[in-house]
Order: sequence, then C-alpha cells, then structure tokens
Amino acid sequence: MAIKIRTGGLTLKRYIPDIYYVDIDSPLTVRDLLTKLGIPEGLIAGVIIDGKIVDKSYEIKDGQEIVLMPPISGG
Amino acid sequence: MLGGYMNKVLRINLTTGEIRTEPLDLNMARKFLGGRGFASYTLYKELKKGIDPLGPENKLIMASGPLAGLFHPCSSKITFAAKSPLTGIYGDSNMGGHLAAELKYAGYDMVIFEGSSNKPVYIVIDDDKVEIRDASHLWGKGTIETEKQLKDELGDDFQIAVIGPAGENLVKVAIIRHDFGRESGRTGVGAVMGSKKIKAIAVRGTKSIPVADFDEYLRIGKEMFKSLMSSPIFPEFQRYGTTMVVDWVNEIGAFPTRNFATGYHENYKELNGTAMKERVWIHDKACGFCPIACGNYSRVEYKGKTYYVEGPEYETIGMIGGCCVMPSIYEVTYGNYVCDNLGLDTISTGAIIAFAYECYEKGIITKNDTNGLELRWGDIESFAKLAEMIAKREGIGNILAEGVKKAAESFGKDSIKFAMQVKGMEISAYESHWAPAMLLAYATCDIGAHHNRAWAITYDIEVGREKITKDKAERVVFLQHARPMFDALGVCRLTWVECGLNLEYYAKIYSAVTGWETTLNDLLKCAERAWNQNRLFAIREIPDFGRKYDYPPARWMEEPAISGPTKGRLIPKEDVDKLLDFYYEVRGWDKYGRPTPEKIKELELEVTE
Ligand code: SF4
Repeated sequence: MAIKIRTGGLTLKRYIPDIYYVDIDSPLTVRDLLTKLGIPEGLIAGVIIDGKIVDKSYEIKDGQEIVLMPPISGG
Repeated sequence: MLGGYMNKVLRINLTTGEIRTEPLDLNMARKFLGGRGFASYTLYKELKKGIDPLGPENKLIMASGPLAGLFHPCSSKITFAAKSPLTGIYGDSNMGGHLAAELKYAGYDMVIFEGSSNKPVYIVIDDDKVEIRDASHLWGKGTIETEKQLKDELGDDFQIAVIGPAGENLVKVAIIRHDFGRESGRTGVGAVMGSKKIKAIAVRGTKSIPVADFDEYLRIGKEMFKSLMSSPIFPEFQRYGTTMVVDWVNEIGAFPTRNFATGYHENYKELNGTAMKERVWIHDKACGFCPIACGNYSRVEYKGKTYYVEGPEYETIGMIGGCCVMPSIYEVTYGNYVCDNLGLDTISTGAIIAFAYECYEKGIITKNDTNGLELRWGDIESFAKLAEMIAKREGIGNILAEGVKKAAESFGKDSIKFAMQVKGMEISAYESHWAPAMLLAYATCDIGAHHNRAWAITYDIEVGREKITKDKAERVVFLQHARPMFDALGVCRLTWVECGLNLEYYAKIYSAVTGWETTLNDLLKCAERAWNQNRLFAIREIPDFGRKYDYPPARWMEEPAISGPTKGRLIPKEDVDKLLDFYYEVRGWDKYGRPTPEKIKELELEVTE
C-alpha cells in the first residue's frame, strides 16, 4: 500500500525529504514506519493523520497521508 | 544610502525630564547589528560597575533591529535590556507583537531610559513628539486593564508596552507586556521599568524605513515567504504552535515536572496541544508580518468567571502545568492569566511556586510562614494566591519575589540544591537530568538559565544522550550565536529550525536592506561579540565570575530523576566539568571561563573598569 509523508524543519532534513512516498506491504504502526525509514523516534515531536494528533502506536491505513512534525522550541 | 536603520537614538531622562536624540553610532551598528547587540554594547559602555539595578543609575534599553518593521517574514522582534535585578549581570528579554515596527516608523532604532521619576508616568512617543505624562490613574492596575485604558485614551494605532503590579513593586521576575500577550518575560526587566516609575510606553510612527536595494530586498523577501509557506508542515505548525511539543517532551522525559524532579507528567495528555485546542483555544494570534501565527488566544472559566488570555504556549504549560503538577489545561490557562495580568514571568513564577511547594512538602516552610495558606502540588488556588502575594510582596511573597536563589538562601536547610536556577535566573521548561547539551546550554547562557539562546536538546537525542563530547559544546556555541543573531536583527527565529528557512537568507536580506555586503559568518561574528561583551559585563560586576557561576543546580548533578524515561539518570559534576572544559576551549576562554586577551582582541572588544 502507498502512503505519503509530509515533513519539514531542519532537524529532519538529513533523514527524509520534505515530501516522501513509501510503499509498504503489510499494515504497520507509525513507530514501525520510523524504524523502517531510519528516523530516530525521539526526533518526531508529533504525528498527525487526518488532522488529528495520533500516537506512534497508530496503525497506518492504505492511502493515508502522514505528517511528521519536528520538535519545536517553545515560548 | 544606509538602509534598515533609522539612524536615531532617543534618550529619555526620568529624573530631569530631559528628552533628546542623537545619531546612531554606526560603528556599533556594524559590530553589534541591533536589538540585543545594541543593548550589550550600550550597557557595558554606559553603566558604572556596581550600580543598583533598581536605582536611577541603571538604564532600560528598548532596541529594535535593522530588519524589524520591514515586510519579509516575522520582522517583529524588540529587545528590552538592563542590568538585571534578578542576576546582577547583563539581562535582556525579547518580545514580538508590533512594537518593534512602530518604533522604527516613529524614527528610532533604540530608546534609552535613564534616571527615575518620583511619580508614576507613562511615555508617549508619537513620531518626533515625545512626552512624559502622569500615570497616577494607571498605577496599581493589571496589565490588561492598563493597555486597554491607554488604547482607549490614545487610539488603537498606538503600540503599547506596560508593566503590572509586579513591576511596580520591583518583583525581580516582573515582565514588560505588549499587545495583550507578548512579553519580555525574563531577567526582571519589568522591575527596572517599575523602578523608573514608568507604567507604560506608547509608540506611534508614520515614517518609512529606508532600504538600500529595494528590488533585491523584494526579491529575497518574496523568496523567504515562499520557502517558509511552502514547507509541507506549515499548516500544522500554524495549527498547534509550540504546544505541539508537550507529548514529545514527555516521551523523551524532558517535561519539567515536580520542580524538575522528573521529566514525566503522568497526565500530560491533559496538558498537550490537543487539550489546548479542544478545550480552551478560541483563535490564533500573530506578531506583525508573520504568516505562521504561532500564538493562541484562549478562554477559561474559573469559579464562575470567564477569563481570556494569550497562551498558554509550551513554556507556560511546562512551568505551571509540569513544574507545579497541575491536573489539566484549564488550571494552566487560568494560572497563565493570573501571572500575565499581575505582570509576572510565567517561567520564573512557575519555578518559584514549585520550589515553594517542595519546601512546604519537606517541612522547610510551614503554615506559619505562608499566612496559613496550605501549599499543595497541583492546587491552582494556592498557585493563584501565591502569585498575587509575590506580585504584591505580601508575607512570604516578599521573599519569593526575589527569585528562587535568594528564597533558598533565606529558607536555608539545603534548599539551594533544588532551587532550579543558574546565575540566579530560574531554569525554563526543559528538564535536563539526561540531556548534557541542553544542560550545558542552560549552564552557560549569558543571562542565566534560558532555553531561547541555545535549544540543544534535539542534538542530545540525535547524537546520543549519554555522550559527554566536544561536539556538544560546539553545537551549543553555534546555537548561542545563531539564535541571538535573530534577536539582534529584530526577526523571529521560529522560521529557521522549525520551518526550515535557510539561515543564509538573513545575510542576503541584511545586505540588501543595509547596503553593507555581509556574509552569514559576519552576522554570527557580531553575535559572538555580543556574547563575549556580556561575559565581560559579568566579570566586571563580579570579580570572581567564571566557572563556579556556570554550574547547574545540584538536583541535576546529584539526585537521579525519580520517574519516566529518564528515571535514575543524572549528570555528575565531573561530567559537567568536562562539558565546561570543552565549552571554554571552543569559545577561546581560559579554564576559569573568562575570555582570553587574544579572543578579546579578535573580537575588537574594549575592556573597561
Ligand atoms: S512565529 Fe510566533 S513568535 Fe514568531 S513572529 Fe510568528 S507569531 Fe510571533
């Protein structure tokens, strides 16, 4: 199944392009996806799917668009 | 033609009532850029060693930057600075909103407030017309009412900065507030404004900012907007602002909980971006020229009354929600309102009240000390009451109003070990029991512990949290130049790391605006110069200033984190010393943490007594 990933910010640049498509064979969680892509889990501040923040244990469905947010220095 | 700068400095003496202007020192502009750079240079040059920060000899600086007020992204930042009453060394704090632009439109790069008035006043800067007016009708009022009343009196087109009761009462963590929610929150600049009896500063201007190469400026500015807004995560960044990180910070064990005893709050989902958006958020709010609008405007009900506040942003959630262990976003939002209206820094106040809770829990202070007030973690009622006592300097509030370090010295019984501060300023919202680069950033920050100068925690995660290596010091030093560069230029830094805007843009746009061909390295050099200038300021004030002032509190070095992902972790003093050795080496300072003569010469700094 195909999924689209949107990301940005300087911290993630060396791991993944800002827009990235990936094909996966079996259902997997966001955490599995990060492992597959070699992105340290600790560098993802938030995962947004369909406009909602989801946990890294969320199971990704076919055709979904996933937003990976980098950490933001607050305040 | 030199662009960007308005070429004029305004000096207002509150003792004599004298108001005069002078040309901008172009040598200073070349070497220190603007904003906090101007403040570093001016305060070192003009303040006598050993003056009382709350006396008439101290000067309050309000400085904009050469890129502020123009229409490229996020050109909205202004710096307030003075010798800090909280730390006794150079202090500054930066804010967004619309004041930076308005000050430029009125024709000034910087305003220097000198002396002190014997009665409450407010200042009106209306282009070339500058007046000191009576403010007795405003004295004692909260920040919200003061700003609203002045907007009603003067007109909506004035941009206004105010202090609250905390600033009036010389509370050392008092803020200067603007646009109903933007704050110069740190180092007690609000107390300095209060010591001069300035309740408010209102600015309106109609002038244009000169630009050396307008076509080139327009071309680069458009490119910056395009690059920023085409970032694939731009809409999400807009939607959640800085609160997005609450989950992440808990997952990595860096949420400052229970006065930094742990980096994990069990109920963090009640405090995160979703909780904020779904329960209290009403709409977004932006500084001038900003397409991001990271600010949130919120509403909360408390005891049958409705309160409106800008926030809570991440730091406030961390310091009120985490540090004081509040149960949900409602309490944090109400606490945010209370602090803002009293004119208190939410970061320092959160740390001070958490410290008081812990002292009470340990029996170091009792009901006899608190006028019968029971202090309990997570209790918003005692939080609000203590905040008011601090702002009014009532009872134990008078001790807490001095900041957490002085309060610990007063309470004794080893409470200094968990007084979470460096150089006298309270640590902001990143728990660093297991984040050596972040700990080093706090330890070495020029104004006392503040995340804004070097936010290095992602670096710890990228290269390994256990590592005590030189590259961490190199990263911290780089950030300590790059991030303050934004403050000096008068622009917001969230465009860079968070939205991925290339740093090189700032050299290009500075060159086009000013007409001075400048590289990114040149800009970073100016930031390094200001950093060293501030270190020299501290050394002039405190003869033995150096390494021993750069240690974090004992809690991080001696007491392991009590729960969460960092449970059992700490960074022992030997490792802190190693990090400091690396840091001083990278900076070209000696082993005591003092700039060497070679470094001073390289940066063309003058050392004076
Ligand atoms: S990103 Fe936030 S702090 Fe920066 S200019 Fe925009 S609204 Fe202001």
